[in-house]
Amino acid sequence: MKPQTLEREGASPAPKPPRKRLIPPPEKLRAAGLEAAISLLAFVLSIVTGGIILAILGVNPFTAYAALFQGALGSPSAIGGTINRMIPIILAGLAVAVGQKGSVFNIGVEGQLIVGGLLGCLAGIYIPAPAALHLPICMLASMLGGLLWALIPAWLRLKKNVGEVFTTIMFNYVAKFLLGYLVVKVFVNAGGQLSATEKIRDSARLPALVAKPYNINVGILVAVLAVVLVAIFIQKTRWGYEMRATGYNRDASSSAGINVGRNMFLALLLSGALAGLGGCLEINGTVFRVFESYSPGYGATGIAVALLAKNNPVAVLLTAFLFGAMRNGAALMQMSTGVSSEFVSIVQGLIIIFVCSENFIRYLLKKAQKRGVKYA
Amino acid sequence: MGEDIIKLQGITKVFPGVVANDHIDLSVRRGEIHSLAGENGAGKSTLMGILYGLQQPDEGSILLRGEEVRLASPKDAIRHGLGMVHQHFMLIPKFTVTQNIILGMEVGSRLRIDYPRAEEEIRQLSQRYGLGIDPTVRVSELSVTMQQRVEILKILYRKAEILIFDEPTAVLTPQEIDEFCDILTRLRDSGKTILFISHKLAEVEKISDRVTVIRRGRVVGTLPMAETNQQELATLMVGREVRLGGGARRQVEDSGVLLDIRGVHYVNHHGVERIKGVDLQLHRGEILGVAGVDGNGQEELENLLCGKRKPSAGTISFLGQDIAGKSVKEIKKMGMGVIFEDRHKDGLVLDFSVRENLILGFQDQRRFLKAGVFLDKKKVEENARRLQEDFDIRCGSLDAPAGKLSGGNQQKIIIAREMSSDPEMVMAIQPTRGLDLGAVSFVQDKLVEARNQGKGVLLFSLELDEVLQVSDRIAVIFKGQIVKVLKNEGVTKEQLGAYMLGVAQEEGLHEAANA
Amino acid sequence: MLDAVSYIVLATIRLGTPIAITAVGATISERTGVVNIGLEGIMGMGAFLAVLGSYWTGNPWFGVLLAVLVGVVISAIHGFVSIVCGGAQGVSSQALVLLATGFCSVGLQAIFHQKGMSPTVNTIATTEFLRPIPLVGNVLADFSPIVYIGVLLLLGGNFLLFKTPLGLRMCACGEHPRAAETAGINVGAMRFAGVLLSGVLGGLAGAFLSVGQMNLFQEGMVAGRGYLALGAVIMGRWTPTGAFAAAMCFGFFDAVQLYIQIIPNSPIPHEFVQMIPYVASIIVLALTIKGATGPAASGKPYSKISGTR
Repeated sequence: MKPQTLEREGASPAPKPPRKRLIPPPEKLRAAGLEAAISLLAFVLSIVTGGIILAILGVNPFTAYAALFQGALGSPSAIGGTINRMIPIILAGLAVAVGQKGSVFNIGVEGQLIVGGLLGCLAGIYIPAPAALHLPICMLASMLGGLLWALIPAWLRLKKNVGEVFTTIMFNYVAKFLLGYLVVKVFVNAGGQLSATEKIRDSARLPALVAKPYNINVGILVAVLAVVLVAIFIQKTRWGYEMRATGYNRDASSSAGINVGRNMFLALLLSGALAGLGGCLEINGTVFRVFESYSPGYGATGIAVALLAKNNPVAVLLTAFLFGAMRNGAALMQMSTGVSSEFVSIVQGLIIIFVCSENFIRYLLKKAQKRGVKYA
Repeated sequence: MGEDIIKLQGITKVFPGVVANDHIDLSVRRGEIHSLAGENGAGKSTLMGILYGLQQPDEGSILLRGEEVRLASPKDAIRHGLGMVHQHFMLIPKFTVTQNIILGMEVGSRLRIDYPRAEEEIRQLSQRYGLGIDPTVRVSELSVTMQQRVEILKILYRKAEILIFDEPTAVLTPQEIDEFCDILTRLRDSGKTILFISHKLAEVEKISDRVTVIRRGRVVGTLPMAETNQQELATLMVGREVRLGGGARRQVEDSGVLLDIRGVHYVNHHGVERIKGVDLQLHRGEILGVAGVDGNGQEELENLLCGKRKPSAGTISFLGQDIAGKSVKEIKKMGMGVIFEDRHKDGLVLDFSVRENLILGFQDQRRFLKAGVFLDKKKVEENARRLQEDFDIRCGSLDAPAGKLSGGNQQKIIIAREMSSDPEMVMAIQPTRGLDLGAVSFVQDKLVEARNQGKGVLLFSLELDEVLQVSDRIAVIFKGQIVKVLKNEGVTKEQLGAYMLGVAQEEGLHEAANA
Repeated sequence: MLDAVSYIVLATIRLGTPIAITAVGATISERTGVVNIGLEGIMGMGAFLAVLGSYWTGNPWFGVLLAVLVGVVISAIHGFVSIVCGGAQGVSSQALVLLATGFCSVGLQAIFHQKGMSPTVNTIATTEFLRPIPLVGNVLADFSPIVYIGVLLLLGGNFLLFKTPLGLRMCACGEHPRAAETAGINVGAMRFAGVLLSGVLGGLAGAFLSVGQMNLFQEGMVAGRGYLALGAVIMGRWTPTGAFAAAMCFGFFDAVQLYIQIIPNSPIPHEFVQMIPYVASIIVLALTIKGATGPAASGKPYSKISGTR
């Protein structure tokens, strides 16, 4: 029976006039549904596996996950914290996704984010500017910082064909040491607190969007705006088209006259700028000063976020929420069960592994389907 | 003739959307040369993949020497005495001949390969069948013919009794084909069974003892070659009349020079001179076929013309402008459409929809843009609809990824796109490779149509039949030089073959210089 | 002056060894067609498990064994994802890094109830049976046995890849998997062998970091050495010897860095000194990369399930 219905569906949409659609065509929806289902399945499997690991360590996984959930969404302030946590993660994920679209694997988001945040913070401390201009200046400075930190790897990729994976990783380490130097020896605060800069001026702080107890700052709007702009850029503009073409097939793109090298170069710079902005939103929205290791691995989280979102900018919002919640809840989990908050990293790693094994999941599904047909 | 050494019964293989093999029965006798004839896409390769363990059949059984076998991998097939020379050679360029041949069947202990012994064995084997192979050279240094012989040695080394050849003559010149047929006969006479897969009936007729014809995944018949002929086979194979060579040709008024290549040299990044002084002119309103054995500089010349590479010396003027050093994009803008050889690698972004692929390379043209930046959805859609109709692209939905389409429809996308900007010149590189006859005829029609509109068409092809069918003039390329340019009037394949092998080089060069 | 030279030479061997061992493994893996960026994580896990094994039994060799085993397990995950499922190799092995960071941190707190570093354990810092050798005995004995194992592994890796049938088959899978398959070779198995070997060597190198060089585990102690090993593979043109030498070159930068740090009143802030290995490796790689082409099919999936076959 089944093949017949399929055939009928295939034959019916013959000459359809071009018109605007509110809902995407069914085959597209079904494909998107399958993608989402696989991502969801990967998530669930990771949670379960993580639970097993907890149990092995002698921690009741249910208590731990309950604490995690409580810490993430259990109270207005927890929700607010989760949303604020999401902000840099959105940008980090977006940065990775943009790179992937342009066929570069930017593992250097961490370093770019650190440097961007630092520049944003310095602009917030030392540039006396009117309130209306101060934040935009900080953001621009941070994007410039992230971009600059991606510049050498991008240049090496373009001119010397040195893989960006290696160089961006090395730059992460350099960024860490640079930050350490600057906050300990150069931009130390006068208050005597070690390893941290001064606090940024009030005019450079992101105002609250939702007041206490939620205490959510405007950064979330900036992040969403960034997502929208990036989505439009990638999907609707000719540059985005070229970048995507490059990401899918470098040979065909260069054969079609698209400058592949330049696209990869730009993709990496754009990725760096977005990462830098992520650092700024974290500093100017939540922390207000830079201290030595202020990023709890946002870069690595960004990779997981982008992967789970299949590099789709809009889906990054959802997955960033998920990871923001986990990161935020982890603190409470650590306090109440003694499990290190780094447990979240394990879950993240597991998610990536399961998403990467999607072909296997698909294969199993297909096999199950076939068997179903045989016995039906 | 011996008993049935291979017996395939009811082999069926279904891919999404296609029945590649539909209950195929085939029996091959020991010690015969059995041809499997059918056009591209008829299911020959799938069937041989199944016989060689690369794919599993959905239904049916395989009997070897009367016993049913299950071939889960090529390893099983090799164990049962099967050997296959693939259409695309399965050789590792960086390895030596010896390494390629012994791979998987190494001599010596488990810990150490005994290379001297292996080389000696290969040398002897090569001598016995008159193949003339030096086991110590790297495969990357061998010509196509020699590589094919390495492939033959590889299966002989594995003591195969049944040798399968998948389209072995596609890359050879007529003279080389004769030699190749001699080798096959020698192999048969030494007791091997040969399964010869081809869509070229001349060769099938020449060497087969029996022939099985398949069409659209089904066996149409098995005949002793003595009782049939090319014409009958052609009818069986295609099942309909297909006219090749494009439609009627019109004389074009303006037949000025469109592309003028003068004294072009090209040295690649290894320092090897691959193009050694090419002079060639392409006129409006003609199809100029470039014939030659693969690897004689075609790829480099193509890359020079489309802007991927810069010549080391000489000028290439297109529409009166020197394009040496211009980018792919700039040359494209000037009016050159290119149909690349490898659809999947260079022609299409397989993950892009049909609609998106139809603007690839033109995404920056004003006709598709709003405000110079945004892709105009409506215009992109219009473009896709129009081309879909004009070029009969069958894809169900324009949203479908190009990767899901058949080869013929993928090629139509590329041709539609490259013709859509009304170029002055079209460079077509092996444009009918792997297509069935219907699609071949379509592509050839489009090339002739372009020619009739006064465009220039430069056709690179390894298929001499095609070159002879469509070209107005033919240029022969050999070792990085154009050794002969001739009008396509009464030219024979053998003549072309002689030039392609450099046999008539001296004389050819003189004439080319005088022309 | 002589002191400085001997300090740096000895430190180079010590600091280069873990990178070199890992690089030999990474070379073998890439030769079969699988890039393993996750070696950084595998080293971390190895370092942690080695301390754990030594802590539990008091015998550091048991720790080394555990480290090697965990290397196998973790790389098997990468093998499953990238070989069987045809997933993206770069991303998948990045997951190993996350997994390992998380695991070590969680493990530290759960097992030792400590943050950041483990208690000290028994080590294998010296090779005592070499001490009686005249003249050089004392110097040689001051290296961990793992240093010597590393040299043996280099010889073994070279022999495996270039002399044995298995090596020929492995290399074939990295160059042209389909050709290998048609020659009757199980591509998946060869690639798995390559990845698992890289896991074994990565785990061992990790163990060297914690029980061979120091006497405890510290979070972040791998500090990019797994990544440096991958750079060494490229610099070494995908041969074990080349990779080993390149790794020693990185070890040299690290030794220089250490040496400058111990100079009293050094005018250069130590943070900048610490950057040296990373910056230098980028520069060296950029200078030497021209013309480096790896195995043709390295990094490309080849799996039935994903349809890339």
